[in-house]
Amino acid sequence: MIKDKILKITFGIITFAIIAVVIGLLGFLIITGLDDINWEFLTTFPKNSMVDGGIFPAIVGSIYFLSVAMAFAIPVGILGAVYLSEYSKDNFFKRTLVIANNILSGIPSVVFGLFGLTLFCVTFGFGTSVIAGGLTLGLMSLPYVISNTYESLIAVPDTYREASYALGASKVSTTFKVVIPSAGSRILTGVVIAIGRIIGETAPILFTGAAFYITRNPTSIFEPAMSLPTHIYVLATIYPSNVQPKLEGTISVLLLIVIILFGFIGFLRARDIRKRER
Amino acid sequence: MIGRKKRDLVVEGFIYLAAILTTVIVAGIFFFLFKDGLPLFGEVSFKEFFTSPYWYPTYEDAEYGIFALLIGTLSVTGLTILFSIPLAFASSIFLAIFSDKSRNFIKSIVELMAGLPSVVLGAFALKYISKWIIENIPSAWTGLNIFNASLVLSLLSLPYFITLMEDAIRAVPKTQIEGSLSLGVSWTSTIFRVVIPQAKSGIFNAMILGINRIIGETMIVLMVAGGAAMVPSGIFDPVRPLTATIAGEMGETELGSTHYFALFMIGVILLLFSTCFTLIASKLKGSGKIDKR
Repeated sequence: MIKDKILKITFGIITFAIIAVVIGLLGFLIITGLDDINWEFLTTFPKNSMVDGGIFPAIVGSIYFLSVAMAFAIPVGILGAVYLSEYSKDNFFKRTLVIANNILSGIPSVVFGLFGLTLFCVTFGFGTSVIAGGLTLGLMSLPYVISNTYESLIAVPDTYREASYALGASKVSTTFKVVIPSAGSRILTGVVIAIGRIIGETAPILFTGAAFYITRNPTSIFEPAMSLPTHIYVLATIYPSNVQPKLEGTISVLLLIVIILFGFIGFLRARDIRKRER
Repeated sequence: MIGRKKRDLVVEGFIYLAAILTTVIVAGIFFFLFKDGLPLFGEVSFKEFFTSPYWYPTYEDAEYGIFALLIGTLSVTGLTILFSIPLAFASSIFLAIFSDKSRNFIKSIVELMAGLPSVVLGAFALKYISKWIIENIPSAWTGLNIFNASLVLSLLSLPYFITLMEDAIRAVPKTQIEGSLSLGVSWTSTIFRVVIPQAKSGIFNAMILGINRIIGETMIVLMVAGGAAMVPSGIFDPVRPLTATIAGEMGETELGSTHYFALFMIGVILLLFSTCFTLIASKLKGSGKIDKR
């Protein structure tokens, strides 16, 4: 029918137009920054009020923030998901936990920033530091890790658990030696997705852990650090337009990292599907 | 064997602890935000805070009215919804029903879209779209305004809307669609008379979760919305949404000052917004289901 054809083509054009805009924008941003990236850019500190030099401290800082965030979110998130999938019954307690998880995942990033400021920086006395910013990011990524891990755990067939029980294994051994390993690559996928979501987060660390400019890398987690997203924010808004090449280069680096992460996710999924088909 | 049992108990203790931690964190966020937000009403009246359009926190005679900021948030959110929901609706139907070979490719780009850092989109809009607006739209006196922010925010919110709406549409049983088609009903009528009515609550749920994202988005509105705390009279006027106010001013605020309390009170309002939206979405979906991210 002609009406159906028109509908299909119109909606198809809209969809591919969105895809084209995304790919075009990504391509434009990466390519305009590519000629500003070189070894020096990646390995030196900014100089001359950001006009010269590189983004080394921002790369190192981002790694620090993400490490602290994941050191918190991975163990807590996986254990929390284990409770929901292996231990909980469908009762009021479970519903409360699930609703809390959903509320947490809907809270705006800047509100996490406020919470991190008052709890980690002020109450715990960490000040503006890698640990305060990293933990704030960790709290934010927790619901991602929990929901992704939960999905992978409930996808493990019950026959695996029953076989393990039949061999006399306890519930804890079954969970950690049978269920989690067989969901392993999917859990890893979930963790990488969580990293991909928080690597570009700016607002939560803006006033909990980020330094706009430092001359040496932090030597402990109680010092502030630069990060790629906050560096982009600073270069785009605070400095005059003569830092534009550095801004383009930094954007390019961050986008390339994000694309590599998502490429890795695609690789993990494809491997997972191949394994299951075998 | 006793050693092993003890070890199991310890491990299970940690599992329970991790499980209740999310609830404790949510309670903690409420507690700490209210603790640092409520002292504001000792110094500024409830009525002034919500109804005064004057936000001059750094003036000698400081004023703390968030009415203009609230309008800023609502106007940017409204225009973003207008841009993105129709587009997301069309492409989610295409994705769920018409795309077969291209589906995986589209899905992976949509997922990548959700991973685009908002600060990057903000920088792009700040450097390029704002110039384009000034050159091409004569009535705009600044390139940083509601229109610019909404345009970029749409790009950011599209993947949420598309993914969740597609899930809702795909959840409609195949037999119903086949039944309708076998009666000789066209695809178009099947989609609008059978599929969408069935997927209504899921689509509504997607809208609520997506709108919640838009309201809470910070970096784009901080960099691109213009930052003027005024009630706008058109889409090319600059505004200062709630999230942008917190992110833009927290760095220069003295701990424990009225300004500090006021920013936390804005945080409380955002927290209450997002909690209400999430609870409504959970109700629609049936409680006990984890929101997919």
